[in-house]
Amino acid sequence: MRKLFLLLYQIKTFLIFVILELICLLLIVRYNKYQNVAFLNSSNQLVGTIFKITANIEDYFILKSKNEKITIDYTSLQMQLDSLKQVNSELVKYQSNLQHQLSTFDTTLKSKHPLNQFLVDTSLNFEYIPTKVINNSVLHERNFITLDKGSDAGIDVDMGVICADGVVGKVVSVSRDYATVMSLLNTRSTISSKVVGELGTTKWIPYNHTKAKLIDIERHLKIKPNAPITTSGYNSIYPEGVMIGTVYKAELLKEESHYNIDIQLSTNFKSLYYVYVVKKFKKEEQLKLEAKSYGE
Amino acid sequence: MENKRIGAQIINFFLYIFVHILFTKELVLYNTAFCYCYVAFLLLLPSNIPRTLALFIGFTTGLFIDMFYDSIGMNAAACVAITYIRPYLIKALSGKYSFENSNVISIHSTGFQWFFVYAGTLLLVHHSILFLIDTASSQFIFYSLNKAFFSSLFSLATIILLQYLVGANTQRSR
Repeated sequence: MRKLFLLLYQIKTFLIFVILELICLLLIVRYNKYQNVAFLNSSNQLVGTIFKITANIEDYFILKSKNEKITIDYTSLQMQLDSLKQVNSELVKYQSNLQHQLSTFDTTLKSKHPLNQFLVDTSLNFEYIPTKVINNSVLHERNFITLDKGSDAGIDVDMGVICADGVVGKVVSVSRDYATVMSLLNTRSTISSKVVGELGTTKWIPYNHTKAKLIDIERHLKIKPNAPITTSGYNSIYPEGVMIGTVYKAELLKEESHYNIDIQLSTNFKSLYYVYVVKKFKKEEQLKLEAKSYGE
Repeated sequence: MENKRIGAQIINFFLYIFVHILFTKELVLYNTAFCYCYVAFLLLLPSNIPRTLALFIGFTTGLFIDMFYDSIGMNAAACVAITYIRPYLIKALSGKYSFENSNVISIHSTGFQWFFVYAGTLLLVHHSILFLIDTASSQFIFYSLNKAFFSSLFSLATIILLQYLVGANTQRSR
């Protein structure tokens, strides 16, 4: 026994080396479990504060390009608003028409009509929290983004993050004042997406920050270049119809049952300044309901 | 004397980490060569530091850096590995330089050639481990090795330059 201890003492450096390496490997492999531990992430208070200070200094150097970007975003939003106003005025006309028709119906029937409850529920489903990007990377295989707002602003894990151009990523960890976002440019990220009404999954293949892959689109469909790819809205992270990108190249290999589609991403991940965290109302209700139905 | 040296090492730790995070973290050449100059802190630890202590210092440094990269464990694994092989390398290379009068490792005390071989080897090991762990699939393995090689060159150049920059002061005060 004594000899054993003596031996262990002699190789203690080696043992500690092995133990520390095993801890590291455990942290790397079980990453998904530990990424919620804000202490080990860039969303921890110390790291967040340092990033915020550096981002504030950097701001002065990129002020001009930033302003240009914001102006472009603003004009595109203004254009969208104009077209939406037009659609809205048409809808108002249509609605008044319908209301008129409805009033001619029997009043007792009206209140019992099952469609009525849908007409009442016109409240917004999503809230957008504007935040600033204080740390960003595009060159690694697993890229993350740090935001300057956290749980105090209502941000929580598993919320979607979008910008004016399109999808950015998903919140993976929050502290009081900062949040870490898993960028779309991460080999672990998947986004449920839609192209010409068909469901697929968007995945990123390193190392090109302007391209991604769309998988699970069956070969009987007709996919043309430049067709828009948007989020499907079938999970509780992103709203429906947020832009992901356009079809860059759709290949049909001989023995494959699915398309091989390259996406030209619409978001410019190299110049992310301001992004929006998407907060879905009634998300818990939806998740609970889904979990319940899966359980049965 | 001993306290003074520990204090100097702690200042070194924060200095290298902050220089790395504030400046060299953003330095990337041709999307291939990354600069990890914080490794210099581990390279420049005194040669007579207890091995187990060095391992823990490496582990802590790595984890601290990992927080900034959101890559839990990757830098830590690489740092623990180089702190483990460091004493063996010093022993193997000591034929060209003896540590009889001082345990300080720096380009001024050991000479350029010795430091170049020593730092180059350890940086290559560190970067290879780091980039190979980062590679999720085997199809990018050559790309990663390529990155590791050029990053080592870049880090080595930065570390040597920093040595001349900082070292000029310490030599005067000695």
